[in-house]
Amino acid sequence: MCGLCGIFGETSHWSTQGVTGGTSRRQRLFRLQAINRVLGLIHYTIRDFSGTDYVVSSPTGNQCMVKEIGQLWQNVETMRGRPLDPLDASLMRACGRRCREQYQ
Amino acid sequence: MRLTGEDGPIPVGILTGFLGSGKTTVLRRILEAEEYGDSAVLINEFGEVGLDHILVGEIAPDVVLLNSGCLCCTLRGELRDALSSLLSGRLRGEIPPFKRVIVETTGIAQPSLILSTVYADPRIRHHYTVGDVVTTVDAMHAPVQSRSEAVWLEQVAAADDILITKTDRIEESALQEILDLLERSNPAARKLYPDSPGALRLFSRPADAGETAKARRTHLAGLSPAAQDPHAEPHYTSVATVRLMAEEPIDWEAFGVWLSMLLHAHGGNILRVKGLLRIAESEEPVVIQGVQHVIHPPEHLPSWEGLKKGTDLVFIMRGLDPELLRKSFHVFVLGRA
Repeated sequence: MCGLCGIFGETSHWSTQGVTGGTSRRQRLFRLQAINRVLGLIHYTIRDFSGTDYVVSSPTGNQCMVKEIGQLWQNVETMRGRPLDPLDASLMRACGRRCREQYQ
Repeated sequence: MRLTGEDGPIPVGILTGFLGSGKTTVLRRILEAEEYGDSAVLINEFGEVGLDHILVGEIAPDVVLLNSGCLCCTLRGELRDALSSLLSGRLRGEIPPFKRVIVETTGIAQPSLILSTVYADPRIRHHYTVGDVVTTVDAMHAPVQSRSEAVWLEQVAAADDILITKTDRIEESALQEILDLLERSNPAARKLYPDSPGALRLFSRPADAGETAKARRTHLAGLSPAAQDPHAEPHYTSVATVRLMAEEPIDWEAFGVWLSMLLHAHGGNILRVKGLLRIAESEEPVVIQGVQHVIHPPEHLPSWEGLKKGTDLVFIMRGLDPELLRKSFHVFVLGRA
């Protein structure tokens, strides 16, 4: 548990293992922002649930609860019917477009 | 003049094992032991970024890195030169006497071709002999690797000692299956775990001689078609590496999201990831490494001293387009349009 914010440490996924030295709550918020930047490209969203879980929502209103980041992509794949592939050309184009918009 | 170890020619031990099976961890551990203080170490890494020598270098500063190619295919001349220069350095008194040489190979190296380098060159043969071959086997991935990676079997078959790593990540019953598999693949080798008493005495058996060495040479020559055909295509042509670099600090969360998404979609074809990260939230370099779907807990190095400050990552992968991966990293992690 984080002594400062009272959140239980996230499970053992490698990406949540204290590399940055910030508090769990702060890192969790940054993580949510980073995931939302990617999920936003396919009009999905993710939000925090009680500081312990995540809720993923599809554009049609489907929702599912995700316990940890390790399960996220599998759940998104199940909801969507195909994996979210960072090597997919259209996804990269969409991400590039968003980057350009941010800099304009 | 012939330079020898205590009991004859200097043994060249080979530490091999498939990508991510724990070779460097084993090497670090044995070099920490006092009785290995008189070992010279040669490290070969596949890919343009040498990371293992940085990790091992904290313990043994005089590590020699044989870089940018696979020792068994493209760097056999370099191995010969490195062994020769160790001898010259020792003769001139520039390096202290050493009792053994340990060569850590790439994860996709065929040990037979490395052994043949030691045997084939007259000068090398005069001073050195082949010592033990120690193969690390990743208990978690062994069942898949044994089916999909031909070189896995060659590495296991070449071993005098097999060190089974990552056993804490599998069930007891799965471990028994792996032991059976190893027994079928190489019944003669000792099967050890990192905490076995024998694991502390790796590379310390007397150098091979006579029938044992001959038997192993014959056995290995039979296993490896490339050993019989010097013009054969290097075995790693189906494997591609890509090096991703960035001077600016990167966002750890963006990197974590990208890599976890990538491994979910393509983990089976990403044989190895390793490198250093310069992340915005930390002053120290962060080491990241993994095999297929599994990434090890990230590690902080004490400082950037002696290293180029920036992110430097290598992916070893099969059947994926390196340019697509590079572009994906730029777009998702660096935020470059």
